[in-house]
Amino acid sequence: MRGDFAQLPVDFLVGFTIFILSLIMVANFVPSLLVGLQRTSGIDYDAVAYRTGVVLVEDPGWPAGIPIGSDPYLFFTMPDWRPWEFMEDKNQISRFGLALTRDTPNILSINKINKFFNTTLFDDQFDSTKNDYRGKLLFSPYQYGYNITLQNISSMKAGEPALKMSIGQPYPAVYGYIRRYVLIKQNPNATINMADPVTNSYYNAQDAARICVNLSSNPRPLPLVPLTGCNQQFTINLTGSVLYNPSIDTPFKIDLQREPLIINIRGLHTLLNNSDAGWNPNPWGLANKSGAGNPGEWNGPAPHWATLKAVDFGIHGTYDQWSIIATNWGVQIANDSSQPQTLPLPANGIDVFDSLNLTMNYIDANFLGDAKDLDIIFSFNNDPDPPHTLINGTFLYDYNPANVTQPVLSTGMLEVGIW
Amino acid sequence: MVNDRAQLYTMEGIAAGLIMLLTAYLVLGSTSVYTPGDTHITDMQLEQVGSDILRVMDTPLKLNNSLVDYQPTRTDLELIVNTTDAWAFNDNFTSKYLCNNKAVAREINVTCTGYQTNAFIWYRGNFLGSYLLRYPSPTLLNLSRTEPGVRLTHWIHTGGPPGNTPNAENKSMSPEPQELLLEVVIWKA
Repeated sequence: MRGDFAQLPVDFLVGFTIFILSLIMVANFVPSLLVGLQRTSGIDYDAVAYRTGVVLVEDPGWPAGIPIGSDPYLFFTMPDWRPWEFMEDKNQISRFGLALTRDTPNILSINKINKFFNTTLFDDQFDSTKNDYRGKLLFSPYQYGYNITLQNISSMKAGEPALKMSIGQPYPAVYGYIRRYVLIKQNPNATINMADPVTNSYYNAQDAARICVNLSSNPRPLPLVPLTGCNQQFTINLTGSVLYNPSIDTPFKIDLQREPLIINIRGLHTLLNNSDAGWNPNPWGLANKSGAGNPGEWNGPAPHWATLKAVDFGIHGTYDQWSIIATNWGVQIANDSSQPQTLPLPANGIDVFDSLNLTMNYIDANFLGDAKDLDIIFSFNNDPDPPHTLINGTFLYDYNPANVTQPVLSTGMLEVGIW
Repeated sequence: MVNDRAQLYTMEGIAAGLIMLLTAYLVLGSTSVYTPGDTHITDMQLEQVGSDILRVMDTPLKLNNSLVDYQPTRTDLELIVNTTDAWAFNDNFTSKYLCNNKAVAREINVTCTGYQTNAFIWYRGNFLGSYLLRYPSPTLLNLSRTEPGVRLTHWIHTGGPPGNTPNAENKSMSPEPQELLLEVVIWKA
């Protein structure tokens, strides 16, 4: 028969067990309580680099603009529909991101890239408290060091130099790192060489009668301006339903809502009326009329310029109205020699001899979209004294590779280092 | 003769032993704290880099002929798979991208010393089949010191059957567009 000698040890055992279990649980909790108090030496720089890489490569930034080809009226709650790369005021930009749209990860926009790496616009100073890259990309008041470098791997679009852009400081010995492989979408552009015989015959108005007739009966009749004086007009037509055709993949769209329009007209002198005796087809070259002169030297009589009087924008004949608004789109007109002009042009117009460049940063989605067309009309002076320009016709800015150098992608490598 | 004296003391001993073992186990277990950062970063980087490369290689760079239709050109990866060009695969995947010598940072985790790849194509003929697109160099293969690899998969849309299926399969496969699965394993040898 058992005695009651062991009663006390059982109580002790129970008490001691509870005590030990409590101690174990407390010991378990303490380290995790202190995790949040770890010093900065515990920052996982690889994770910060990864996060930064994802924001850059897979996100279009904010504001992201409206979806491609959309009608901004559907987004009327947005005070400004433009994506961040077109914001003049950097305070309007909340987040950097280089992806074309949120549906195209790894495909970057060259316009976002150029804006992002613009260190004269954004503060890139390591010590600065106003460093824009920490505020809009790293999202931390902590003074991270960073180096972000983008390079092309396959060659860039024909005629473009290799790309190597970088922000931040040189790499230290220890850092967090991520490397992302990307595609860089480059802008389309159009070069119209009027000296080319086919092009020339298409746009060369041989006589005044044809000019007047053609203005109203071109391949694409335009219900435009009153035909007073038969102005000589060259039209660039942007058809929204063609440009924003849904069967074209986003990376290959000519998306003028977020890409510049670049048009170079060359060989304009071949459209000058050269029946004038004083007209010199080559005032800078060797072969002038007198047979004298040196290469590159001005060796002819003063050339007779064509005069560009106005550049107008319009939808269905309402030209003046849109032209006023278009001055906000970063329109620049350049001739052979002078500084680029903004709109409106001077009252007397600008003289043009051989080349004319039009660049625009973007076109407002209110004026070009899925169901909206836009015409850009160059009106030349129709001086009755020869020589003057003999130009008319409509140039279609579209997916015809004979007209427009199409958008292309190049592969590239983005490196993000954080320390 | 066995009796039941001191039975309780034996049970106490066993219980105390268990408690001590449990204590030791829990105390030892509580001394290390996992942080998400110190595990598998290398793997994650390599996986990200690898899937980026496959995505870039399988993206067309321009429209084929925008006057005819709006179809893009065939991608590098599709051409490689259709011709079963193991050399071209390695040249693109490893030399052009993974080991690109233009990199500013000489990062140990993603530089190429000792990295090996192999690649399988999975296709659907009469049956599900696969073949090897690329195998690692045997001279560099050191099976005794390999680290865990990462496995990447990528769907490839091709205009026709894959290039290196067995003859019987090839004849019976219809020349229709197909989806192939490319499986790449990268590891450090």
